[in-house]
Amino acid sequence: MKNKELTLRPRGWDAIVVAAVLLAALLTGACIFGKASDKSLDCVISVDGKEYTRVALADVPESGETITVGHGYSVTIEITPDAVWVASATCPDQYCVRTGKISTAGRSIVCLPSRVVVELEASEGQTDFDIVSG
Amino acid sequence: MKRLIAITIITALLLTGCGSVGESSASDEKETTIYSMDTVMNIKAYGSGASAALAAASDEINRLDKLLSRQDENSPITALNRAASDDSVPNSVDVGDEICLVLDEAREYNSATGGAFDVTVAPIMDLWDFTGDDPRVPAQSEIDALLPRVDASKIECSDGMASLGDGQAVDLGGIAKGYASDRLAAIWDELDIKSAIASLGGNVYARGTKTDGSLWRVAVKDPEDPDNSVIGILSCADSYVITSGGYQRYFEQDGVRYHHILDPKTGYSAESGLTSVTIIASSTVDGNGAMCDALSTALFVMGEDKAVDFWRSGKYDFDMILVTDDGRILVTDGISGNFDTSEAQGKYEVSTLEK
Repeated sequence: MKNKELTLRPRGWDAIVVAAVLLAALLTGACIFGKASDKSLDCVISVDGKEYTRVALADVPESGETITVGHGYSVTIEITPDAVWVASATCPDQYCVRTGKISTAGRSIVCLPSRVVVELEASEGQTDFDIVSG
Repeated sequence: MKRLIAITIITALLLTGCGSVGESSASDEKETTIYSMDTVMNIKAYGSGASAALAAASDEINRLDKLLSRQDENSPITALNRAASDDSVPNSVDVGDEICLVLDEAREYNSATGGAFDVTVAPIMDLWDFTGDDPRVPAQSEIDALLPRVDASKIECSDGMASLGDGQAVDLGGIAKGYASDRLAAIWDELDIKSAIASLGGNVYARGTKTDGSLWRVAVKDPEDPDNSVIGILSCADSYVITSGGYQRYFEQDGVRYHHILDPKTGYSAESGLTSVTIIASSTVDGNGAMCDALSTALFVMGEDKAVDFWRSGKYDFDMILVTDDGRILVTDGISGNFDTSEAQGKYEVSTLEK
C-alpha cells in the first residue's frame, strides 16, 4: 500500500472550500432572513370590491391608527403594529366587530352590509397557502 | 477536482433553493370580489381568458342569486314558499327546470343522509333569525309547532313545476353555493379556462393547477380560532373543498353559543361533537359542488360515527376532514398524504380514517 503524505499547510483548494462554505452560509442566511422579511404584513381595506387603502403594519405607530370607511354603514378599523380589528360599526349584525383581532397573513374581517373587507396580506412574497376554506 | 464538483453542486443547490422562495408566475392574474348569496366571494383566474372568466362568473352568480334566494321578493323560490302558505292559490308554481334540478339534488341528499340535510328547515331558521338584526332562542312550543313542516320528501317537482307541503318553505342556502360552483365549472369548461381559484363565501373551488403546474394550497380554518389559525393545508387540483362549521354564523344568549347549522330533527343548533366538517371531491364530475355543500352540512349534523359510516358506505365518492370538540382531526386516506397538518400539531391529535 502506498503511503500518502499528510500536510497541515493550507493549499489553494482549501481556500476554495472556505470560500464555498462562507458563500453557503451567506446564501442560507439570505434564504432564512429573506423569508422572515416576507412576513411583514399589509392591512388591505377594500370597499365594494375595490382596494381603498393599504397600510404596512410596520409603519404604524405603537399607539395605532384608525381608519373609518363604509358603504351605507360606517366601519371603524383599528390598526396596530401587531393586529387589526374592527373597533365599531354602524351595521346591524355587528359580525365584523365580533370577529375580533386578526394578526396573520391571509386572515380577513368582512362586513357584508357595508361591503368592507379588511385583509392581512404578506407585504412581499406569498402566504403559504392560496385560499382558505371555512 | 472532486471537491470542486461537490462545491459547484452544493452552491447550485443552494442557489436553486433560494431562488424558488416567493417565486410567482401569476403575471396574468385577474381577480374579482362579488357580494352575492348573502356572502362575499373572491375569484381569481389566470391566462389570456381570465377577464372573460371573471365576467362570466360574476354574471352567473348574480343570476343564481336572483333565482335561488328566498330573500328576493321576486325570485321563483319566494313564489314557491308563498304559495305553500297561501290557501287562496295552488301550491304548484312554475319555477323552471333549473330550480327543479336543484330541488331534486336537495331531495336526494335529504334522503341519502336520513334527513340530516333538509332545505325545508326554513320556517325554523326564521324563528332563530340568524341573519337578522335580532337573533333569539325560540320557545320550545314555537319549534314544536313548526317541526312537522320539516320534511323534504314532500317537495314535488316535475317539468319545471314545483310544489311544497302546506306551510312548508325552502331555504337553499345549504346547497346554492355548491351548485354555483358546479355552474362555474361548466362555464369555465366552455371558455377553456385552465387555472382559477374561487372562494364562494369559504366554499373553495380550485380549478386545474397553478400556472406553474403546482397544486393549489387550500388552508382549512381552525374552528377554535377561525380568524387567525388553520388546521392544515390541502394540496389539490380540480377540487371542491367545502367546509361547514358552527363558527361561521352564530349568536350568544345567556352565555350559550347558538350556531346556524340546525338539526332538522330537533330544530336546535346541531350538537354532534363536531366543530367543523370539510368535504373534498373532484370538480370534474358535474354535481359534486352541490354534493360537497350538502354533505358538509349533513355530516356536521350527523356527528363523527355516522359521518364515518356514511363515508365508508361508498355511496358517494368524496374525502373529508372532521374536527371534533375533544381536539381531534380525522382525515380520510384519499387525501391524508396531501393534507399538511403541521400547523395543528400539539393542539390537535391527527389520525387517518381508512375505508
